[in-house]
Amino acid sequence: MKIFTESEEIIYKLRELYEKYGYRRFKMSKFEEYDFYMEYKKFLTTQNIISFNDLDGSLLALKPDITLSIAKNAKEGENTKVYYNENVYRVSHNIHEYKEIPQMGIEYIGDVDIYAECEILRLAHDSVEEIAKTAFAKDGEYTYSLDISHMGFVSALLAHYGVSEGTKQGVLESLGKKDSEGIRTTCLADGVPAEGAEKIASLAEFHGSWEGLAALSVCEETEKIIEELKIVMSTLGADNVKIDFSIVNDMSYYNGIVFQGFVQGIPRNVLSGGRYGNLLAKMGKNASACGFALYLDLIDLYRESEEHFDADIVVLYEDASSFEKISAIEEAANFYRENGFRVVVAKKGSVLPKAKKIIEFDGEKEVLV
Amino acid sequence: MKKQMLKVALPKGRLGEKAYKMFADAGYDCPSILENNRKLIFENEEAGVSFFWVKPSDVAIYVEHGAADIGIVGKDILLEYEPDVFDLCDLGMGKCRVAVAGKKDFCDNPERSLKVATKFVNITKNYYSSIGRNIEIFKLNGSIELAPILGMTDVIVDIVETGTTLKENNLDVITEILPISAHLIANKASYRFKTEDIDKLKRELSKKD
Repeated sequence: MKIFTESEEIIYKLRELYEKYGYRRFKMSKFEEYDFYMEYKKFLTTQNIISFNDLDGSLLALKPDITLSIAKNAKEGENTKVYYNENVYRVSHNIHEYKEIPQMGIEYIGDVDIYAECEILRLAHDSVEEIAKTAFAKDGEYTYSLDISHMGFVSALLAHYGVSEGTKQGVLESLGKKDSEGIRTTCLADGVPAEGAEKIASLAEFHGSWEGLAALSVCEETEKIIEELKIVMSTLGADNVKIDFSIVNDMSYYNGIVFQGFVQGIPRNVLSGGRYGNLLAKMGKNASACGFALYLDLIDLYRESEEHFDADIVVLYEDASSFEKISAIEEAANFYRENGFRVVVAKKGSVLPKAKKIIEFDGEKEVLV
Repeated sequence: MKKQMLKVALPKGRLGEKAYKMFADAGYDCPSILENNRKLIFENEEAGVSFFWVKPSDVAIYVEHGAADIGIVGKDILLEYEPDVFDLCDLGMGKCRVAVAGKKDFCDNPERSLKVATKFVNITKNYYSSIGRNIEIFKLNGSIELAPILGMTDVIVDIVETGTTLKENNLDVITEILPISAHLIANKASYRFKTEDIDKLKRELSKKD
């Protein structure tokens, strides 16, 4: 008998995985002060927040994001390693209404060195694989990918060719769409030399391993980042890890590696993460930070559904007018329950649940209907 | 593992037919598509491709939600609905423009809100907010030209190809907002799993303008 849905199964497996790596569960309240989000508005992927007044008149919000709250509570001088499994409240992509979205993720705040970064990427990789394996395998085969970008690399390239602040946003938007023509046009209009515009545009078309990055390197900073990506990719050692600069997060919060996970069968990224040291700096904390979130709602939304049954077996009875008759019906039903089936007992002639098998019980004999 | 089919959403109409020809020339042909029948999906297993025709404004929806891996769509649709997809290249065909048009004798009175009829609410809002003009939008779904003729609105924002329809109705282009052409778009997840196929197709299609 299968009790857990695929997404519940995934949650338990991932909790176990994160615990094994020394991450502690972080439980939190659903509310946060509204002002807090206004301060860090651009960190959120949503601008819509459900707000309400507390009894003292102060404005509260239902959490649209978990990372901000964890970052706020992180103590300086300590390494905070936590995972969470909470609901966030955001506008749904499809129906343009607020939805409660289950989200899981990990955050590492403190001294996040290259070892820690590799470990987080390993966990991201394994999390995506777990989702693919548990909920999206077909005949035992499944496909997934983890794509990595580096905001430092992008910003070094833009700075090297003197792309102005005002143009940056437009370039990043085009980069997110892999619109190389758009980047070229925007850069040229900004007075970037043709060679530079070409190089920045080719960021959009890049999809592959760190080895191909040498052609895009322009300065010491980019060299350093290629070395970092080489270490990270070699450590992960999986051929479904690729570098792709179309993963763009806000530069004022994300300063290093950023990444997204994809599972074949889900049309959007199911995982999103990165280094957000700049956020900590804005909060006045001297620490680095990295983490990721998994959008668990996508699993149930896109999983191919098998035929649904309310029960495995329905046992039909006609007469339950005495203790003996009720005991006999119970006994018949329990026989199947003990053998691991979901059993519903129903009176003949009543509305029946959808079941794989219907068995009629006349007090002595059982007849398959 | 069985070769994965590349699912392509094509816009019904002339643009889609032209786009299909580009696919066929690039080696992704599917002869059954030219037969005049009521089938919705056309497959060529050998070439590893399947096509389906959808309403032009729905192409981006099919691609965004992964029912199609790639699609051909006008830039106007991308700007209006801002779907979360990769905008891989401009195919250089289906060229036209989005423009503001009004009666020949139209003169803007800045003292009151400008009444604009359009089906492109987003593009219209963005354009007028960029020039700081107050407007009232009248969202219509077709025959936009009728609105200023009947005096319901001052101007329209619509696609202009040759301008013939406008002329026949005594309307004129006042300002051009955007040049439009057909773009190749891809689902962000599909791109990861069919990178080679999609990149190859992009190279083939962008060669031909």
